[in-house]
Amino acid sequence: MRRPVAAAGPAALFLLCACAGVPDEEGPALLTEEGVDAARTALSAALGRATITLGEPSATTAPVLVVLPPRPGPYEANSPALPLRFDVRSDAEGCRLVPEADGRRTLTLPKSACRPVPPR
Amino acid sequence: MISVMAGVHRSNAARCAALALLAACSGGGGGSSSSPQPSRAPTPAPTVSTAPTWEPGTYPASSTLANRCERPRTGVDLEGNPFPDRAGSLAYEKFWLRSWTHETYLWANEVPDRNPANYASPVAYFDTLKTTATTPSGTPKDDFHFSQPTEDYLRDRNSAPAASYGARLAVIDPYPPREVRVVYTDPGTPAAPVLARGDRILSVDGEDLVYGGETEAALDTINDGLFPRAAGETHVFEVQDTEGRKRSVTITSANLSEAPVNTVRVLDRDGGKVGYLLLNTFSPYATEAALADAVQTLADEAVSDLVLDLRYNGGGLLAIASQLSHMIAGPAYTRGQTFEQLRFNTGVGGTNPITGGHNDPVPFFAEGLGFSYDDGAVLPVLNLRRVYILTTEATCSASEAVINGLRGVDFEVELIGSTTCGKPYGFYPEDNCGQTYYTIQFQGVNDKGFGDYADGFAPTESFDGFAVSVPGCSVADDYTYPLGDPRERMLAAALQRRETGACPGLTMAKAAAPAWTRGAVQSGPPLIPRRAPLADERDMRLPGGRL
Repeated sequence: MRRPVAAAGPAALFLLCACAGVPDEEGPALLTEEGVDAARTALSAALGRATITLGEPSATTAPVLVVLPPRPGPYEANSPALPLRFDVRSDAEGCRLVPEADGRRTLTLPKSACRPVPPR
Repeated sequence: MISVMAGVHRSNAARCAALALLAACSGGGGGSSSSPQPSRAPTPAPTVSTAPTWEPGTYPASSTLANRCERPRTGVDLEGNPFPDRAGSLAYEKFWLRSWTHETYLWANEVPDRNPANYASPVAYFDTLKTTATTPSGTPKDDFHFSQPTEDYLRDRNSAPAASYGARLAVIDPYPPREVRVVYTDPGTPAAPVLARGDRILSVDGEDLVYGGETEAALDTINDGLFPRAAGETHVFEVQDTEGRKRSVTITSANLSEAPVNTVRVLDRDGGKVGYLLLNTFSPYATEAALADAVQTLADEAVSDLVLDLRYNGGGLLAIASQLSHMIAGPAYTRGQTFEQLRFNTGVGGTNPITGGHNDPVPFFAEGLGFSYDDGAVLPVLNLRRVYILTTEATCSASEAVINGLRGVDFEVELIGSTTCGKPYGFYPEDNCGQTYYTIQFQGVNDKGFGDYADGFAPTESFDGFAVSVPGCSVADDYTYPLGDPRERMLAAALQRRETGACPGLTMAKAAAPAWTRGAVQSGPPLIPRRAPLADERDMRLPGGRL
């Protein structure tokens, strides 16, 4: 059995690691502005970083959330640092950040953190 | 266009980074990204209950010794992360270094196991924890071993933008008669309208830079003017251009970040258009979008050749070096190929011993990664057959990875300039008890498994018998013309090489050697740049003095 995300303080409100298979009916979603804040809080706890810097594109306009690595120092001239990428998806149970590498374990945010992808 | 799912060229390496997050999800501890956290939220590891004692050849896990400090820090660091320190001792700190080196140092089997008790401090002990082997040229194989206070490390990496004029200066000779020249200015900065490449600075705020500075106060005046401490400082310089004309300029510093892409130009030449791209760093996240824009500009102009100017590029992010290489060569060369594989020490197999994840190869990224260009967005490509790369000893690390990565997929690379710095190595800085340690932990090798260029890459025409020989021309740097001007010596040589297959005469390479390499008598106090991450040519040098 997988263990849940280690949560700390208020971040625990947002951290309910699903630790289960992703339902088939889930779909891509965008984050609301409040959802971005919730994502930062959840990621801060999960990654153990006080500051979470997001990359491009904005998760309010595309169903993907990019977390930038800590900035390399001036002597890190061969840095293998890469951003982390999450798909933003929603289902009946909530709004989820699904790591690219493993779709089964996710960070779950309040359902209000997500909104539908507008039709093109 | 943004792809919802991972693109076809998205790499296992990216997945590896994401796996690190999952390690946190599962309570596995360890690094939370491909770059280590200087101060992670502490996950207490089992600790040894008594002070460690030296048993030759026996190495406790470094995790059992980490953060046991003689003087534990309390509170949070500059980035707001809580310090992980616990009560310990100098012995714990030294034994952590010993085990961490054994676990992660690239040449761990070349480090004698010395008793930590014989060393007064962790830093003194750390200094011994490296190989003493040399490269074929006789230089130390590990010339990159150092440490610094963690507070300085964090301050440095969070200091951009920093106070600067937007000019990069070269201290060609720090001794009287001193020679300090402008290497280039970044567009749109305070320096851009008033300084030009090659300008020699004669005085600073009335203090004679060339022969003066006889007192500490006078040297401070010079340094304070050259390297402003804060935005809003105004200083007056007397400068002399490359034709000998003198003028006075007044410049006010501002908080600036270095522009990764300094110049993009299209040159109409016999046989087609030639692109010129001056890229001075791979470090800022803005580099990704700036490079994509620059390459799109060149693609729109349908250039048939490219001169990539990396002469002052000390490296940065390997992923962006990979993207640039793909954008130059295109998928015919890069699809499914490895840009760089990180090779760790012999004891760790297929695992990255720092992140704990799989040691997957770095591919040629064909899409944005989200640093500053949309994740998943397809990158523009030039689909060229060759690239001319301008190099000097300041061409280092990730810049050399471009050379090596492209050669690894049989893409034609021509070097114009001089021998590169020779750093196929990298590290993940690690804090312990307030000191951040840099120890070489990986070597980058290309798709052919080659990465032995510790003495650099050199144009075939050069006399450097130890560097890896690459087709091209040996040409010295030239401050006479602006970068990107076809008359500038290195660019001119690249264009000549392209159009005739020949190189200019070697006499040109010696003409512009800096004074100190010509054996100038050194007398009087030296000018020692205090700090100038943007404004001097030392910004990517290691404290040991090597790039």
